[in-house]
Amino acid sequence: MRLWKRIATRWFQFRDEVVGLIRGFQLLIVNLALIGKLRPVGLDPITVIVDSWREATILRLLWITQLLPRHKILVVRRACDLHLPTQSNFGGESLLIVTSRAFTKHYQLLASLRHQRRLVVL
Amino acid sequence: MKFIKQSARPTPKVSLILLDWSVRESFHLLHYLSKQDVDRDLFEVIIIEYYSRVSDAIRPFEDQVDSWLLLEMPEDCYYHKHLMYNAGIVLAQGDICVICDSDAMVKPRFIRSIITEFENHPNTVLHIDQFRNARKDLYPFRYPDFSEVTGRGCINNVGGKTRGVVDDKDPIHNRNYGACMCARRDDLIAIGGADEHIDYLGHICGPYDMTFRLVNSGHREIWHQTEFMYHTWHPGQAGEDNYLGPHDGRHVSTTALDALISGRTMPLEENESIKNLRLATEPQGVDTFRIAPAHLVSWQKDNIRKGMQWVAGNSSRKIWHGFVIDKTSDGYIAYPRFLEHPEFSKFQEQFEIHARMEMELHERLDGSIPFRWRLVFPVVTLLTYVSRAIGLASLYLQRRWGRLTHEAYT
Repeated sequence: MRLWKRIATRWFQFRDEVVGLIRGFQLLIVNLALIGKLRPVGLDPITVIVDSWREATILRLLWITQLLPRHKILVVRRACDLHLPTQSNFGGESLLIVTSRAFTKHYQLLASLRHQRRLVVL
Repeated sequence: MKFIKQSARPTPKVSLILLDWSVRESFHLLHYLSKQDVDRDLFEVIIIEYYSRVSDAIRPFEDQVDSWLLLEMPEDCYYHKHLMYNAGIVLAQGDICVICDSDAMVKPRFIRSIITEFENHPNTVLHIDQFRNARKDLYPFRYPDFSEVTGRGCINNVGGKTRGVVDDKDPIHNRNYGACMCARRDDLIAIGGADEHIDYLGHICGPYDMTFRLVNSGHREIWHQTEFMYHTWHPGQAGEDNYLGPHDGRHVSTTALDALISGRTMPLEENESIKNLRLATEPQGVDTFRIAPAHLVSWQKDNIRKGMQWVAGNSSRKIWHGFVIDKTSDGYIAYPRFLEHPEFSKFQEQFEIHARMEMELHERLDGSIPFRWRLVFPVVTLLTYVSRAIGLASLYLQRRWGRLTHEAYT
């Protein structure tokens, strides 16, 4: 009985986590597409910060199939990968979009960016 | 509310707030607090009991307790830790409030480290992580050495530091935010104290709600690199069979995460006494703590249970097909999240969808999303399930392999 309870707990944990991931990713896709519609052509491309290669791959596929607007992707797996957004080369007209999952994982570094740049947390 | 004891410490610097909801079997932290290397008048210990139990586990250490308050909540009300945090904040006389585990071990320099950290970095919120040992032979607690807790059976010792403190991959899940959180009392009052929203009822809650809002209000979050707490195994430590509010699958409140994302600093539901302190509308005093009468109804166990099962309450905010759905007084409103950014707020009318019923809103949203996007959703769902399952399986195999090779080596 205890084993079944453990298995059930693990399954619910897995399911809840994946549901959260899916919701977050749907949010990113829909918002990116709508932002793409609103932005005038000719502006610097959007930069999207995600925290997994899976998300980056799917985003690239959606860009190739022209379901999403042109965007750069930055995959941040560890806090040390985040040195780039703090550099001045991310200024100007570029819009920085960060998934809520990536933001909450590295909020200590990204929270300060919120006041300085055009940072949208999705 | 009833006081068993009321603090007589003249001017403590630190107020330790320890909680119980008639479940704690051991308060051995109090034993370690009696061994601190600072003057005893520098800190006070406040115990907040949610119900009416006068715990026998506290009696052996009663001389270490300065204030002991029973909130006397009805037995049919589910526990809400944030209400206890607020009671502790109102009662605290110290400049620094420390909310921590009452069944953990601390070294004699624990209080000194906290005071020193705040002297060096006043505008901070300080967290202290916890070594956790999973050995069941250490239960019931038998005062092991610190080296015993960090040795065999310790699940998060990485070269003398906790895994959470050295982790830069996913700190929010690998650090124990509930182990020990320290913040200045004035700062906690300025952000409205702990949030008494129903989303934090039961196991999914913690002082990190206040940490995130303090970070949003410009405070720096610091994790102590040399001071730790030490926790040994006991039954029910993972919140089994508890009511769970909305969380991200790994027991971090999505409502708290949402506050962090949106930059919110005030709680969704502020305690009246904290609000009065914040607005300085009434003098400070222990008798001023009040509990909203509405909580006695909304937190009732019968209202959050269906048969033998707990039913998670409806969060005020949901995500549906990439849109945020908020419940308002008129009904429901859905919008893409980027509208929350000031740069895009001018497009509000263009994208917002209103409806009286949630089902009606879902139908309207389905109609507004292009068909090709809706085709993408199931593909994304499938890919996420498969890739996550593969990821977890490989992690499990890696750990197994690591354990096998480690055992073979030793």
